[in-house]
Amino acid sequence: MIPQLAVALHSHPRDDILRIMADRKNFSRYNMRCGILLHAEKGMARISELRLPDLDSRYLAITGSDLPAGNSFSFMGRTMPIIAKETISYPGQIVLALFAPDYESAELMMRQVHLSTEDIAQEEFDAELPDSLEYSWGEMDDNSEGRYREVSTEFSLTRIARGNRRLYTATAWMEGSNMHIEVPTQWTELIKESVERATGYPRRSIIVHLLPFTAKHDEFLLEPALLAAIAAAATIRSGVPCEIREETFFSRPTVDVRRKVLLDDESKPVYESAEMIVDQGAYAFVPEEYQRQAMTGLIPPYPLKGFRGTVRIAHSPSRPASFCGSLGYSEALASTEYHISRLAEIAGTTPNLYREAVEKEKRKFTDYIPGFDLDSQKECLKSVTKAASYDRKWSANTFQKSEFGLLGYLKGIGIASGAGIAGFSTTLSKEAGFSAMMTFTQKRNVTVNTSALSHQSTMKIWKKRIAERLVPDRPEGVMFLEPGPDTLDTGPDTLSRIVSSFTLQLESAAKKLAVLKDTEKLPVSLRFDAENTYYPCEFENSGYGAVACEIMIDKASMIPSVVGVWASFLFPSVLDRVSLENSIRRTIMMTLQENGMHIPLSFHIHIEISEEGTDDTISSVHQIARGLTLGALADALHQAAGDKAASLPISAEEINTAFGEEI
Amino acid sequence: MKIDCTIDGKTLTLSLNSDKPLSLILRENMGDDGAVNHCNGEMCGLCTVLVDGKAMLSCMVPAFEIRGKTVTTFDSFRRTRNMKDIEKAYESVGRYPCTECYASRSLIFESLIDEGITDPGEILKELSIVRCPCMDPEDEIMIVRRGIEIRRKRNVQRPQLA
Repeated sequence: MIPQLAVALHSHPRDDILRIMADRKNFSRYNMRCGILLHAEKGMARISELRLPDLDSRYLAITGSDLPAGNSFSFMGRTMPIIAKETISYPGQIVLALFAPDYESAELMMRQVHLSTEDIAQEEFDAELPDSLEYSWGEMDDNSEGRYREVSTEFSLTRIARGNRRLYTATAWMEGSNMHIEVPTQWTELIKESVERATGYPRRSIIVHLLPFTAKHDEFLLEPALLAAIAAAATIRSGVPCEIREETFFSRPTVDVRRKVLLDDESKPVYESAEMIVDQGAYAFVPEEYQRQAMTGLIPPYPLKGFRGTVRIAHSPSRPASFCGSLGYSEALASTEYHISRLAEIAGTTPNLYREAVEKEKRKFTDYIPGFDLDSQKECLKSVTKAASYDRKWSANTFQKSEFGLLGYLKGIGIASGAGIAGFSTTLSKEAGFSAMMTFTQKRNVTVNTSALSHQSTMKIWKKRIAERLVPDRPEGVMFLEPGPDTLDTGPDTLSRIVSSFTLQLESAAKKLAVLKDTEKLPVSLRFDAENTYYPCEFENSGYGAVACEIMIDKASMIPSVVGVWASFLFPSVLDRVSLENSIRRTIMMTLQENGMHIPLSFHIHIEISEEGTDDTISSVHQIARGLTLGALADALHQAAGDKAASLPISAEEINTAFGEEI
Repeated sequence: MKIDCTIDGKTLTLSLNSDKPLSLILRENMGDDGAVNHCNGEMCGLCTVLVDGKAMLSCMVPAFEIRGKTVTTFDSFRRTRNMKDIEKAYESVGRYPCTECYASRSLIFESLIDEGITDPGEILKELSIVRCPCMDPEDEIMIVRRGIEIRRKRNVQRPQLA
């Protein structure tokens, strides 16, 4: 209904910055402990020795054995140790937390800590992984007689694991029987659960104070919970407030997609198999949901007689991957779009014309996404093609490529189009049971009980829209209840679900309550799911888009630069065009830069946004914009550098090496 | 060592190590954890403050360099009329920095607007210290130019209003 709400986080940033930590206890730095962490340098190792210096009463060391209730962190059913105890699973894993009166003292003392490890065999390193997710229809024809042309394509994203150079703190203090935690987090209930598991402190006595944050890569989902648990344990042991300061870290999984397709005489795909292997690192969190989201993006939009899709989760001794704003859909969508462009290349036509030739008017209905009309998607594609002069540029690049000896033409333009989805799958929504409650009180006010309170600017829009339906003359009559022991868990703030999926649910609840308030005795409450469910499909399509991306590789330095990006999106309705456009721009810029692209002075993004004026499901702007940009970029890079640009992100050194090998 | 300086309008005498970075002084001694980052000199650009009106990376400014100077963080700057000019420029151009770099970018914009810099090369050079990829170069130049226009207009209007 209001997809641009998904950008509200960024629309009025000052609101978030202005949010002062009003509830924080006013303690001085002189009566608290400051903690830093010791991280393992390499993974797949056994701790042979962890030697600590003599620590007086001003210092406190927390190891895996010092957590009062247990050294275990759980996220949606999957667990990992908070602090590595005997074995280290991945480089960067927390081995020790050291608290001191100030950070300088902690750092000086940490220099005297000695950690020695010994490697362990691969066999000893095991992780709990789900079975491969398979989805298919039709039977693959035998091609032994060579009736079809067999084509294979590969799409690959290399792991990105790095610190974001952004410091944040997790602070714990006790006040009476309550444990207070102050931390930036995307899921307050996870903080409570982690502290409870580590310290044994009852969840009802844990109060979470939220610090402002911007989670561009979901970096505030897992790690703040680990830090909060350690800080709480340190507070219990030391009896004074404890704070841990840490740099944010984000990790994107390694993704490999291999496709095999059988083409008929007209180069139209007839049978296809796609296998996606995702390395989520040492521990896999919500891997089943990743598989469902990835499968949704993996299913191609063109008709096929037979299709077999497989999504396999792998693991390696590397840092566990967080959601990274997509949970697999963006990557899979990018791989599908990249694959279509490769098929077009084989067919000897522009990817745009090839799409028109192979795609029908409607998509096939599957268990993952319904059979929707492709008209809107095609409109976006047409618009982008025209704005970017795509066909002309694609043809010029292709023809000139052959004229330019060993180095190639080094220019490329790519295109991608697709539909958006929102939030979690139907299966996960039902399993997790995230909810909220809306009450129409006797004083004719509306109260909303939810843990989704981090988006100040979005909450203003929610209040306005709820008031329109329930208390039209008194917008101040809509209140979001302060977080407390009885707050309902609305789930993590990922995949823009709080502002996309949850907004729709709030609206729907307000509509129902508008009827109930006149028919039932007040107060009347309505408890509702935080996420919509789309039986019989896992997801609903919502919002469409197309992105074209033009790149150029500098002949001397081999630095890949983006010349321009053209994007066209169609959403059910648009309320705040400026915010929506800003959000799309940021997602495009971020995707380009994190994949190694240089942004020159002349760079421009041309965006066109249209609205359907319907009440359809809201899509996650980040997921669709990220997936399409990634697909278009991979396609452009392939035209510029051919098979030498095997995966993203890419650097000038890698391109140089690839060309050097050929010479 | 003892350092006399003015931070956010407060005249202070701080007793600290002479080489302690300003970003850590602000975080640890002034309790400004939210808007000022400390990346230990890794040039994240998210620790920008105004030192005597000029935008600087606070993690690169040692304590002894702020002696006798005026430091303005975003926390106090956001309440000024100059910030209103920048907000108007954002609104006019239709682009906003993201929440993460909003404080730093706004302070750099202020420094550029205050100095009246309109050269695209210089604007981008100054803004390149913020690594956050949320804005494209064209928009940054437009915001600075628009900000200068708004500031000039305000400065011209002020005597008339008085």
